[in-house]
Amino acid sequence: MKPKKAAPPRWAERLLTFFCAPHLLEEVQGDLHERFERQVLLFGVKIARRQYALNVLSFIRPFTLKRKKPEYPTTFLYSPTMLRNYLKIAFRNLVRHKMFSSLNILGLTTGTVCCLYILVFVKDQFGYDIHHKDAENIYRLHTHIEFNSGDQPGFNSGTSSPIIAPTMKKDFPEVMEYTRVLNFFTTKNNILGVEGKTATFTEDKGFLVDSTFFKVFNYRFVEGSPEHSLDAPYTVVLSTRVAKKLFGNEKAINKRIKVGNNVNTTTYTVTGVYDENFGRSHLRPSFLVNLNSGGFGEFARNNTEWAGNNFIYGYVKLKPNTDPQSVEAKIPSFLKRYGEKRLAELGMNKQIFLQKITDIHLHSKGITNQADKVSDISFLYILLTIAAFIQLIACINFVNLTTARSVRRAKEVGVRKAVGAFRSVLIGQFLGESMLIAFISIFLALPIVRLLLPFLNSLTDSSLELNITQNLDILLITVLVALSTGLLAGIYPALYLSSFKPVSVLKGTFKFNPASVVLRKGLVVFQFSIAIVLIIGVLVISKQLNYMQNKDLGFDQKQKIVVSLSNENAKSKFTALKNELLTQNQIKNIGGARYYPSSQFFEDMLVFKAGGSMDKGQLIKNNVADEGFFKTLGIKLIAGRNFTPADTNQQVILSEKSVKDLKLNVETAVGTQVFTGSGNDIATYTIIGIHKDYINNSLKDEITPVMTHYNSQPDYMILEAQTNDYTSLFANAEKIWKKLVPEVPFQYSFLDEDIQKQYVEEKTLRKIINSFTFIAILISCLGLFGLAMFTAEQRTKEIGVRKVLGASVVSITALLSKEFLKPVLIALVIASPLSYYAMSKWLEGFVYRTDVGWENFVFAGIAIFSISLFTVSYQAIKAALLNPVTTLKTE
Amino acid sequence: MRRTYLGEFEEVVLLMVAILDGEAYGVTVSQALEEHTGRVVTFGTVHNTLIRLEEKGFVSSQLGGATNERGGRRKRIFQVTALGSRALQEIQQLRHELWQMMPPTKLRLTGL
Repeated sequence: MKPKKAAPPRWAERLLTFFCAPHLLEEVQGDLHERFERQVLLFGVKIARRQYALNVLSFIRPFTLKRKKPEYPTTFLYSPTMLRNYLKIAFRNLVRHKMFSSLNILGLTTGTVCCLYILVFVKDQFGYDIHHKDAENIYRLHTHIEFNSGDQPGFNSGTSSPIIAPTMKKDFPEVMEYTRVLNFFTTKNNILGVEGKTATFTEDKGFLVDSTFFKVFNYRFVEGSPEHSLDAPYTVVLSTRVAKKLFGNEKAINKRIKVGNNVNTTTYTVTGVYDENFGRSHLRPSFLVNLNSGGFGEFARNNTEWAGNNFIYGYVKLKPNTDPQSVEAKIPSFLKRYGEKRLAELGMNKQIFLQKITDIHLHSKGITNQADKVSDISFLYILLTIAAFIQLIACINFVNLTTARSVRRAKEVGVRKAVGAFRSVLIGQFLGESMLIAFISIFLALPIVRLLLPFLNSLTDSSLELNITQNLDILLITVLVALSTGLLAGIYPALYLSSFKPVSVLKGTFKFNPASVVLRKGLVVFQFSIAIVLIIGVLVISKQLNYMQNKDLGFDQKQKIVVSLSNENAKSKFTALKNELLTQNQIKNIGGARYYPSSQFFEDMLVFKAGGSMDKGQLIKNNVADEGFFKTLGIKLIAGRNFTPADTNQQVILSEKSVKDLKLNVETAVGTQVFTGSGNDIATYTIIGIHKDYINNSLKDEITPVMTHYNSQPDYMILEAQTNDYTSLFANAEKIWKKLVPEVPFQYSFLDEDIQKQYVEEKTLRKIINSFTFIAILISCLGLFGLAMFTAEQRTKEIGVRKVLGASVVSITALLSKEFLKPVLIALVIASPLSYYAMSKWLEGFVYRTDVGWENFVFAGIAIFSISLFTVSYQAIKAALLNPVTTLKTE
Repeated sequence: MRRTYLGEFEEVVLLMVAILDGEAYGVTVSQALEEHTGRVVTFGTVHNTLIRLEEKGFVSSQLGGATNERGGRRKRIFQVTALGSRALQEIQQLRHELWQMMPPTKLRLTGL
């Protein structure tokens, strides 16, 4: 066996080949090897290898690094002259084929407008709560509750019991700071007024907060400073908007204002004004009041309930680099330590999780009781997908129109290759051309987005601004969109065009690659599939919205006006107001309640029937109403009687669903009693009636069981009008209102509008998809139009011959149209099951839903078919009408 | 007289190329250097010098003579050009003349 030959170190060999100039490499390597062989013999392998490496290193000198100039220099392909030539050719091509260029640019510009806006919107949505210092260490406590009785689904809430956050700070060393935020009062509208002035305003989103609020969250103050601003009781910090409303341009600091319920009794001192436009937050407060200011805040501060009373937003700030899961893991034993007894009493299984505040805006699906409207990440994904698809459709146009007309560029490619262009250079040239078009589109798109911004903002219900110069991110997004569009649109045409063989092109034997024709058709199918999916989407969403609008909700929502009784005084005057207002013959009925349809129930109780106990109780929502409520809304009583003024809180009317949940019988339940509470603290309620279920919340959710107590001082007053002259009705009503409760503004809304507001999300989606569908169809048709134009041009001679031989205009039009309608038909076949699946999934999000409906597919099919027929036939008829003499005379 | 720009090491290498007469390439030159002058230099230095000499026109080179231990790679064989041999002779001449001018006592004084 031959012994293995000693070899010099591999790395040194590699290093040498890397740095040594090619013309010197052979001799140098040869010398080194020769020396190596000799040294192996003389001193052995080890020393030889070391010497070899040293010698290689000794060659790192200028003379080996310097490359020899090749004898025949290749043309420098990116010389300014060549680049100028590429640009010139690109512009000449753009100008020469004006129609195709404008189709391309129009398509890409439209696509880019959508894309750009959506990207800016999505970027904006991701920017919530990131401005707080150490935002990644701030968490909100979210509560998950399940009941042992098991009949009712568990629920997630963004709120927690008030005592939990402060106790966590005490018990867990990881918790640096806590703060709590409480929705000001149960009513949506908080009254605000300046001390000594009679004018009042209403504001929602006022919060009661702990004095530590500004230690956890960052706000930029324009008056005062965040430190210690909320230390003293009865202090308030205003947003700039509210400060302006109350004080105009005067300074607000140290002034005294009246807030909310105690509008007549207590005043608060303004200790600061913050800029509400700084940063975006899931709270978006309009004013903040110290929790330590009596009333409801005092109740929260002194609350020691560990199981129930989950009504406050609790936040904790953890020490840097703390793993939230390690804190979460300690919570179960912590809850057990303090609340075991109480949780068992209520039959409640409670868990607390930490939710990053930066996640609240986009990742709160399924978590109820949010402080402000939250968005959903999946909505953003839908938007991004649509944007990507629209841009893709526009890119496909470019691909199709460029490859279809490649014959025109084939000669250029042939000549360039013949005089020595590499393929890579040609690819660069064609990619550069598509980049040029992409950048032209973006320069056109930017001002258009600017111009359309108010309209686009109304689609997404936002207030975005587009400041390219001030916002580097947006500039970056813009450039990235342009680059990726150019690449996406240009890569295939560039590869395709640069693949032509110069010999066949210049000899004139060049033929279309049939595969590219198939690909083109395939891409058209793809475009139209997207368009059809979108059309069907719009149709189904509209159908569902219509269904929800017309669905019998179990009550009459027409001609109902909801008036907010914002403070104690207004509530106590309810009966007087009612009697006065009913003297107006424009008003037919008046009812009062704490929660009217479309307003969320905040109160619930664990209720059990005789012989039961709390841990087997049913969670039933609580409402209060007067005797007019059911009558005004037209909710039918199916058993028992309505309330009378003689009733008290102890008399209740149950909903059909709650009767069923309590396992009572509709016929026999009236007159029996239900209970809540435990030990000595048991409340008893007598069922006096049962009403038919009505849909209180959104149609997305199941009907909840409701128990309504009698109360003659409700939070809202519902008027049933029997006139269409609302102006005079409101004028009269306001006159009476001002007489009885002058300090509270007259605030009203229409019930049917409030109900529809629950479907804002779906309506936004419909609006957006509506516009995008239009755009998708528009761009697809632009492409189809271009292709039809091209084919008609190509086939002029064929058409001439056909006409000479006796073909009719109709038959030629049909011949040309057929070619393009086939892909549209295939698209319909592909898109139908896809959209059926997607829309069925979407509809599953609604408890009350309509079906996808075959008529939508028929309608979408007819629509897309006629639109594309219209697009194609223009070119087809134009070609068919040409006089054969003009087309054939050159032959 | 036109000065020939030759450094001391260049001169020695050029002399070696002349001595090796048709057998001069990187390995042999550095081996001869080691043998006759006792100077151990790296290949890089030798190559560098040879190439500089070629650039100055004192040597010419051609590729040839692949052998097995070189892995079949060719050598670059260096030959002294006419310019090179004249330069060597001129140096020799100059030294000789200078030695003639040396006063005999001087050498003794400096201990040579």
